Amino acid sequence: MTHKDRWLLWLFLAPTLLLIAVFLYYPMIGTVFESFRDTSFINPTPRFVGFEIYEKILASRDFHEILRNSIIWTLGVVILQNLLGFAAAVLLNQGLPMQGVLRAVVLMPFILPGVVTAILWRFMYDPQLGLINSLMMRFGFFEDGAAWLASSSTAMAAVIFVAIWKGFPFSMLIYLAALQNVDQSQVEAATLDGAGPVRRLFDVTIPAIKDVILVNIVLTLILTFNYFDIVWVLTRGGPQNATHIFPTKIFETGFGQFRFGEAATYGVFSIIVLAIFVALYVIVQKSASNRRPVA
Amino acid sequence: MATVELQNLAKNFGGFTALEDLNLMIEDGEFLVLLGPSGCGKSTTMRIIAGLDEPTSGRILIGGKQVNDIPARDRNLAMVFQNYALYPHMTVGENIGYPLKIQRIGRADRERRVREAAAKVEMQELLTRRPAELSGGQRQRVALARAIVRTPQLFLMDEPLSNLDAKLRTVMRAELKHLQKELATTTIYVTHDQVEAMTLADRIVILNDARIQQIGAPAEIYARPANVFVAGFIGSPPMNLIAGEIKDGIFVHATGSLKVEGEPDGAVTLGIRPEDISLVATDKADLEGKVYSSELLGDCTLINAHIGKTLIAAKVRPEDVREINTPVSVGIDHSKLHFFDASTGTRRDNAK
Repeated sequence: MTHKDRWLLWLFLAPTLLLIAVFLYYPMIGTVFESFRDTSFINPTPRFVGFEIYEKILASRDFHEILRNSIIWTLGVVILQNLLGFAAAVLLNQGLPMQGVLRAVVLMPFILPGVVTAILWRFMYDPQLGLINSLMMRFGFFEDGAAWLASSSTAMAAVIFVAIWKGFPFSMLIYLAALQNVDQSQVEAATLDGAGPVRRLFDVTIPAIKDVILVNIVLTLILTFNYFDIVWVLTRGGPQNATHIFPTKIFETGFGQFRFGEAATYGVFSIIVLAIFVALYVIVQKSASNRRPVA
Repeated sequence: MATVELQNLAKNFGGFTALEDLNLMIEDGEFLVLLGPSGCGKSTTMRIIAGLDEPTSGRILIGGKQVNDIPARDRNLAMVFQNYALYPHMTVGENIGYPLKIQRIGRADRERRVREAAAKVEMQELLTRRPAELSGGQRQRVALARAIVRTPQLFLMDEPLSNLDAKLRTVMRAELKHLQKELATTTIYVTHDQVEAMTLADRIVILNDARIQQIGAPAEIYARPANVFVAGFIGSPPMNLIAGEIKDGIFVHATGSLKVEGEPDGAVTLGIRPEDISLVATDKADLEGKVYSSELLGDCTLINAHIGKTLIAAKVRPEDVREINTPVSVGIDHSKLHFFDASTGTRRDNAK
């Protein structure tokens, strides 16, 4: 590459780099700056306070509840969504009749916008009018309707359920694509070696798609941790703090209470927690299969 | 070890007939090759025996016992696949030992048998490698070891050598034949390569258009092909086929005639193998033609010549090289002629 080419290279890269810098890195670094300054509605002139907000948040009950909620929420959704998505993919890869139609039907929740999904499920969960309670009562599980979203003991589970309902087709889609690329002769070889369906799944299919599983889990981990719309529309983080996770807390603190310094600090914490999540998973995955890469 | 019997086997995929009324008896310890062009039904036959596909109708008996309703995993057969189908995340040793692991055979016993099987294919030094680190020939050996490790009643091999280069294929062919005779396990081998079929088989089954064309020992199939298809399929280059008619002991074709005493009259296809043709002086010529190509192969010369519009191949002495487009006189060994009925394509003297 000549000197002139190198200039040309930077020239072509410049617009993209500029856009990334302005719209990605500036706000990111700005968030970190903001977290060191006390800014609020009644005190519009920012004041540098160092780690004061961090200390305050770390000592608060809110933070610990939100951290716990975020972990439960993320693990719950990621584990169940991937298990369900994988199971659905295996099922839809069996060559069932009407397979194409079935796939389209299963994909429907994924296509709905998050807000629409949340509103739909608010009706479903409604204590008096909801489908769930009316079914439960008809089949005699309850005498009275349960307030799924209004009770601290059930709200998180109810929200996780909706997220999985909406999210599992996405995982399924990726798993299905991976399953269709599994070398069938390996599966047949295992069959003739005497392996039943379960052994074939664990000895041939899962090892063959383990990279896709890794990608899928990291992807859903990040998406779930940063989920906002469904939780916000369903519960606004309530009742009390029962379903408050980082994104809803950040939104509420920043745009509900206009405490931008605090919102920014929560943002920084959420990035740290997410990074730990992903790093932990990748380390576990690597040590579980600390074998040489397979071509 | 076992016999295999197929009775009235048929298989349809939608409207496509892959197999039609197939009957076959395979002896205990026999090396049987299913040979035919792509899409002739040979792989389907093997997959049905394996239990990977179900026949549309007909019976499969292994060791005299009907196995139609026995699932593939319980039939105790070992199969070697064209792409080897090794498990990429397992080592060579784990690959070979996998069938034993499934049978819950103890670790010590398993390791001993893996070592024995690996030694048979000379892979004992590479047990800790992964398939990705092996050459094609080595992978093939691992696949073989995985097949022999649990002494199945039947080996099925689906074009196992076709992904290897030509030289390695010759070596593996010999090894395979040796191994099979040593183990004396009934083996069914699918290939489209007639050289493999001729060299490996005790008996060859030639399939085309979902039907068996001929069953026989390699020498028999070569010497007496049952119909025009077999004649044109076996041999390299295959048998020359010339259309014509016999009248009063004379075979008349498009550009000349040939004395064929004792053959009954009728429309026939004359077959003659390239090695039964020689170049002769003009006054002794059976056929006159024009050289299309002349290739010196070392131990012989291959000459293609136009006799009228028909291109025939002749394997002649190495010194008989000819210029392209020169006239050539061809002599035929009259004791080596084959006659096929022009309308049905079957061998005329089949009844004899």
